[in-house]
Amino acid sequence: MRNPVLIFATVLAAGSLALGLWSWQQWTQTVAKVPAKELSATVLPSPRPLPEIILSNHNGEAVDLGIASSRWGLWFLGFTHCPDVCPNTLGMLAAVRKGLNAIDGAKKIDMVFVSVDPARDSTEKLKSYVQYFDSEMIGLTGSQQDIDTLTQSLYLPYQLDEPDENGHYNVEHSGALVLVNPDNAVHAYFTPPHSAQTLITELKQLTTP
Amino acid sequence: MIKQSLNLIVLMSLIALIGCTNKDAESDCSQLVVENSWIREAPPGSTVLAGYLLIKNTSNNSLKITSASSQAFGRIEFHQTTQGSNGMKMQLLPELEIAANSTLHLQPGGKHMMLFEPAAEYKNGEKLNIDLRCGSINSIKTEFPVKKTMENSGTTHHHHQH
Repeated sequence: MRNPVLIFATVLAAGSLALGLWSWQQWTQTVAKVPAKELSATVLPSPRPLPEIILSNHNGEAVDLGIASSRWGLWFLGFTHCPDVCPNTLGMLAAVRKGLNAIDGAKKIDMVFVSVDPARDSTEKLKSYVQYFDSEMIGLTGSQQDIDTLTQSLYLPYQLDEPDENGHYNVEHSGALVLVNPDNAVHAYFTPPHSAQTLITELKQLTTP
Repeated sequence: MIKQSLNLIVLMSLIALIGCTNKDAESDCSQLVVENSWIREAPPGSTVLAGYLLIKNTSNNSLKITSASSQAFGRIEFHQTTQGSNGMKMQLLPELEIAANSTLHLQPGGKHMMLFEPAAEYKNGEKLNIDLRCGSINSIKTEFPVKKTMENSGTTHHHHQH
């Protein structure tokens, strides 16, 4: 490849190929009307109602999932003794809510943290925990049985690990976010890794008719 | 005679030193550079904290951090958040290996330090010292500022290129 003519020809050929590919892509997009950018969210073909169970919120009030909340919610499952994934995600959810509030015409979305570890996460603990991240964040928990019903219905498994010699145990749980519609039915899932900016853009798109 | 003995002593010392260098090549902290160290402020009620940092290995050998200790915590472990069959789980890492001439990132959602039994409730702005040990001989004394992060969380990682 020491020959300058050969190098020039190679560069020219590569350039033409790239230009050709680009033009072809532009053309197919125009013809097939492919959306410029696909959603990262998985939208269910038809929304799946939440199970009709009664949970408790961070103020100790009963929340009947069988009754429509009339508000959009973005749900995340975790536990307060979680050092990495939960604070990371909840901090991001606080930023997402603020980001959406700053957009004209964007729907208000409740950020909901469900503790799957009711043995350690009392209502009081849940309250100080969620309010640390965002004064408007909602904490929910319930009996282990009701938590199981909820997680099975959401297809988001979790597992309480065996405690170590100090009694500390980890909880395996999904990093997914669930978009719940005002009729209390699952509308879409977001799987990790998450980005606050992508969530803001897509949540606005998904919740605005 | 004295001169000869002295020469012998110097020679013996040199041999001993070379021996040491070879033996401890794997557990030498001096060629590790730590950057961007921080600890996430614990939300109320949480008794386990996470610490993050970048560790640069400037040598041509793979190096290991074998343990960490601090007056500020009862116990420190290295963990990695991984995707298990039931979601995100924590995997215990017995040590941190930093490949030759590369940087190991300990960051949210990946490898991190698990800081158990905090001696006090540490708040945003406080600075805590942690000793990162390389075998039994030397360690890196590292300062970790406590930070309350919100907007910087998520997947926005700051990769530094050098």
